[in-house]
Amino acid sequence: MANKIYKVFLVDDDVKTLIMLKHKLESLPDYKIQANVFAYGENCLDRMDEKPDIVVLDYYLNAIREDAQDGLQILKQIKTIAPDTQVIMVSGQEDMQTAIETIREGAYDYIIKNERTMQRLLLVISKIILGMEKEVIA
Amino acid sequence: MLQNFTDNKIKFDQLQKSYTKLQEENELLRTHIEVLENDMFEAELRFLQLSKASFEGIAMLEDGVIVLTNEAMSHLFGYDHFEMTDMDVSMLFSEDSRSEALWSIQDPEKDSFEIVCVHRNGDTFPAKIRRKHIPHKGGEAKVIAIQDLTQSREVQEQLAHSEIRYRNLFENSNDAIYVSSTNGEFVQINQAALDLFGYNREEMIGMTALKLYANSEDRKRFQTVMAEQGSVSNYEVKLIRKDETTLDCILSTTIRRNSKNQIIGYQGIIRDITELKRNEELTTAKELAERSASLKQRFLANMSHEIRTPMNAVIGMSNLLESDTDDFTPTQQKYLRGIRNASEHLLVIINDILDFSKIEAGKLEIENVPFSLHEVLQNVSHTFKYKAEEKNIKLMLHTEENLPDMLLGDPTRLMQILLNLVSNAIKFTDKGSVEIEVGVLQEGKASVDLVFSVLDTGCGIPEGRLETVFDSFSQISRDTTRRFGGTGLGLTITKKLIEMQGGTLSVRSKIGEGSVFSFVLKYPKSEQEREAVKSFSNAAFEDTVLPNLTILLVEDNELNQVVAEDTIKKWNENIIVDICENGQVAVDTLGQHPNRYDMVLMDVQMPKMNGLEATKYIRKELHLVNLPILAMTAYATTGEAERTIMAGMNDYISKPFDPAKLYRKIVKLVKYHPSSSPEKIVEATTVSENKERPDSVYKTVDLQFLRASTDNNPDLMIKMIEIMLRETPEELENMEYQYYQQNWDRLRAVAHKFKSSAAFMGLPDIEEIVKEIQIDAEKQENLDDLWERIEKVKDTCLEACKELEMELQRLQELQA
Repeated sequence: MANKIYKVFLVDDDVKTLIMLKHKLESLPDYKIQANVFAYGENCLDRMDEKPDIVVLDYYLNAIREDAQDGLQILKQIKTIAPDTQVIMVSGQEDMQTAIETIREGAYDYIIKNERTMQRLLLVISKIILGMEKEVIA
Repeated sequence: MLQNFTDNKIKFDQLQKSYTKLQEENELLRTHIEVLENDMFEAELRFLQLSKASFEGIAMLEDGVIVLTNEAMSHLFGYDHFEMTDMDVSMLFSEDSRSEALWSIQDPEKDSFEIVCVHRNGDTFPAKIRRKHIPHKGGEAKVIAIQDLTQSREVQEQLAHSEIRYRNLFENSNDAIYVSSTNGEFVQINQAALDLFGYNREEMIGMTALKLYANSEDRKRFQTVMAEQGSVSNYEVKLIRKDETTLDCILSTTIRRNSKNQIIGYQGIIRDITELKRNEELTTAKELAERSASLKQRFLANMSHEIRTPMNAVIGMSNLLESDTDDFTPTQQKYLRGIRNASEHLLVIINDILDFSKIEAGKLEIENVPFSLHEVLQNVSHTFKYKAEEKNIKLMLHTEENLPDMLLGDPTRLMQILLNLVSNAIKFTDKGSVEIEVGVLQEGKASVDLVFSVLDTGCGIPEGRLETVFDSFSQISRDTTRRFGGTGLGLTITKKLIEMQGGTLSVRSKIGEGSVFSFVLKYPKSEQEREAVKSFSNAAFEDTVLPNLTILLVEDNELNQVVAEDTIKKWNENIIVDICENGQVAVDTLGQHPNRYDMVLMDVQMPKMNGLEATKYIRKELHLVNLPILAMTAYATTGEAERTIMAGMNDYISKPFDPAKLYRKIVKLVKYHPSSSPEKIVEATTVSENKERPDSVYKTVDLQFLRASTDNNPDLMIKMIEIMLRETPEELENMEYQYYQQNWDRLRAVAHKFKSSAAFMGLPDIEEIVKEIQIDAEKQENLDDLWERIEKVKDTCLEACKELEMELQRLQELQA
């Protein structure tokens, strides 16, 4: 299964972050990842029929468009459309309540934005992919 | 002998018969055996296939010895397949439970039992064992199926946990939760439900849900939907409490079924949205009111624009003419003064209307700056000196000796109040005097209460009218309007301005004797020395001589072009003023000569390309981020300032402009942006030629994080820097704009996003400030110095952008 190309959707209202994450994920040596980027959760939802393996969601998505739905709302919809897709929530706010809510709504993990976000995110994604490979073998 | 032979023959025949019979039987038996063996083989095959598919471990036993196992069995116990063959079955069980297991396997009464098994590595695990008999080699073989219970135990524990959680949730939920039977009687109810409806548990259990409905029709509709869909969510309904007050609620209900799938009742959540609905209604009403207020404001702003544009030309040109009065005859000079007075009067009226609309919209702001009280009073009396002389009345200013001078407050508004009252007094007084009195009512260490009075010996106000004199549009008689002019807004505005500063305006008057208007205002004392205060008067503004600047003037109105150009050239005739008639021409000119101009004077309203669009283009497409742009706008509302700043202009001045104000703004902008001087540009170019430039050249940005994030990939670096150069000014503008709008929630969102920009630029201090801005905006705390913090972020980040531009150039050259 080492040849499988994993599809990852990245949702963030900051283009710089998106470019960075896409670059990092697609240059991982161990897995082949194809990353698609979205500035709004709504756009990501439109393309859920492409069955992404993982969605990385920023909690705050309304810096550009005021009425954009937040990460939690998007998470709920992803989980209804595609319950098997693993969702990782990333957010700058160190708010336990949101973290709990996020996990309760079925997110795989909740990562707080700081200088170590990138490493942690890569770690979590590797963990998810390892789990998927195991499942296939079993 | 013969007898023997015959006997033998008979025996032989019999034997032969029985042999044939035996043979036949044998044949039958063999077929039978074959069939049996065939069956057996199939059974065994089936067993293997079955056990392969199964997750259960399966073993076939003969006399307590394992003869056959499936793969799951190997997995379960950690042995190889062949290792398990011929193994004693007792090895599978933990020592403690071995005898019990062997006994249970033999027990014909037991079809299944639970026991502790042991893995090859010594780990034990709970398992469920089922016993089966299947035919084997003509006999019967014992088969055991072993199921690992570890997971299902966990599931059970989780189930128990979730049961507890559910119960906690049920009891502690803030929403009312109920369980009811098919006929609507409550079977279970939580505390929140009891609180919501005001019943106790005994009253409510067994009560029918119908009793809670304000309209029984609603329940019928609800039942119909339930029957059709099996569940209802967010059904809005009016429910009734025990004390008969009604509640707006939403109801979400599902059907309860038993294990046979029969409907045994309903369960649901009731949420009280009474408060929410009331708020919603209020919000709608508020929005409506705000929309109509903003429409009114826009209309007034439009009107003021239409009037101000020609006024700008009239006043500007009279100013210019008056500075050359030597060339005019006395009559011409008189006419000139007439034009000026009339146009200034008109301007006062327009300003009145605008102030009034601002006050109505709650958009008028009171400043808090150090100012000199004496200077304000002198200015007021000076302004009306000639007018009083003309009417032959005395204008006197009386101040108490111990009057403090330096105060903290809004000098412009105080002056406006006094100008208004004195102008009224002079207007309605034909003989006698107008006096301004200022005294101390009460003085503390940090603040002082001042009494201001304006006394006149004019016609006075009839007693019945005293109460309505401050109402909008009211003058004593319709006749007054014709005789004295004015909008009738003056006193209303004055009163509002005083009230906004914490005072009250009162009036005493006697017909034929005169009136006294007085008010008390409290001012904090200022520590600042008088010299240090930025003078707001027009005096002495020409201390600094303007350098030989090159200015681009963008203005479509020809008259106003002349006013602006001539005003500037009066200060220094060596200043070059190039004129463009609209934004498009200006953009083209700047595209050709990006370094020619020290600053741009930009009209906002222009055909083809307006000032806002032109500025955006200059900043984003021409990348002239440091070229000072001063907006000249005829719109005098608060919103206009925000729009010009948001478009990327540095400051704005309203038309018709006061020459002194324009002078000061030009001085400030040209000084404030020293980087626009040609030397600096040359310097920057030289530096960028050094391709091996170490990062230490950059004083502000730290590229380490960006390099690490992009793995030093130059293409990616270029892409990132380009985005940052494009986005950063926009984001900064947006922060400023949201601050102007006092839209704290948007400010929070924008600041949140901006943190990543600061991080990519390697500005941890700025990132920290932005984070604080975000938090303060969210909590609406520490708003007093928010603006300064935003400006600090802006200054640093724009500086950083300059360096990023250099880095971009370097990278692009390397790429080439």
